[in-house]
Amino acid sequence: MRILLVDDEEELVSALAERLTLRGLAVDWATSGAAALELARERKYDLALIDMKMPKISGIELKRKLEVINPELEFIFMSGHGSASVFEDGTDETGGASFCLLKPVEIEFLLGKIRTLRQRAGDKEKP
Amino acid sequence: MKPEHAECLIQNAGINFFGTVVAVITHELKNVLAIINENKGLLEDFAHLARQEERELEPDTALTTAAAISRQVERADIIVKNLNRFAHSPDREVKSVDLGEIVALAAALARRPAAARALTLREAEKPGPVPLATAPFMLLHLLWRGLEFAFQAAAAGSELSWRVSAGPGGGEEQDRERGAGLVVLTWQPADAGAESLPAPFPGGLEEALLAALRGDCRLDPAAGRLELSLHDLSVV
Repeated sequence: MRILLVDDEEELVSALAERLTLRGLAVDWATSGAAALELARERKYDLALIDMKMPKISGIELKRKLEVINPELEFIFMSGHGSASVFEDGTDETGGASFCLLKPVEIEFLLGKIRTLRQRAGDKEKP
Repeated sequence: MKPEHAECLIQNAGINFFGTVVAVITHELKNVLAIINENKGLLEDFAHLARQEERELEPDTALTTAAAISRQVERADIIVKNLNRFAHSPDREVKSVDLGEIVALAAALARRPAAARALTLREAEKPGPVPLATAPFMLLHLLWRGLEFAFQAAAAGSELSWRVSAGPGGGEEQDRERGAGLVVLTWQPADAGAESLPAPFPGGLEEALLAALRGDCRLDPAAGRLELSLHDLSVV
């Protein structure tokens, strides 16, 4: 599974990307929506893990643009918001993203969500 | 506007302002916590790997990760100090403050909304102390509204700067003695066809705040300049 990780906090994306890489996942990261779009045009990703609030292009706006490039891309949002009830998975508030996780994100929780998405993708491919 | 209506408007909007600032700051703190969390996790990962492979944890790797954590602890300390100063701003209705410090606090609190429009905030020049007896919370609210207006009016990705000086005339002796101060915000105006035009400034709330603070404002949208002159509330 190839993951595109996007957050304007460079120290966050670089550390999280390293941790996911140590767990055998292929991860590229970007600190802006524009850089993420460039990466998505060059390479096909299975999952985009995106911060909801970023300068210039918000997470939801970026999701829409990435979907145009790759309609099969799955999404998980990360948010610095305090309340989980505001961002329910798959609702309009999260632009239909599969999951929305609150920062700080526990790696095992995130890996669980990634496994769920992998499973779903596998189920789709079955005849 | 009737004085009682103005007071009511200021109070209601003040609660919203307080909530907005707390939300902005706690968002930023969540980011800091997230970075600390990932770096703490990275240290654990390296330690587990070293144990599995029966080798020592590399000191440079551990030190680099610990330094990343230290940077975030320092960042959080500044954020919390600013939040604490803001939380104490309504303590006393009128208080003698250094205007430069109050404007710097407003700019620090607004760093994230500025970043959302890819704007950078900079103090054009550091003045000496500009003493002013004022209502700190209302002044912070007015400055926040001014900054919000400037963020909307400024070209995305540009720089917004502020300058504080003593006296509306830039430091005449009688104004200095009176302790009056001037705040000037300057920015690069967005193109005329920009997507979201800011609401007019001053609106009803800003006018009420200016009246309560005995202040005046002068806006030049074409030049990207907002001047707020503030008068000492201890002088009758």
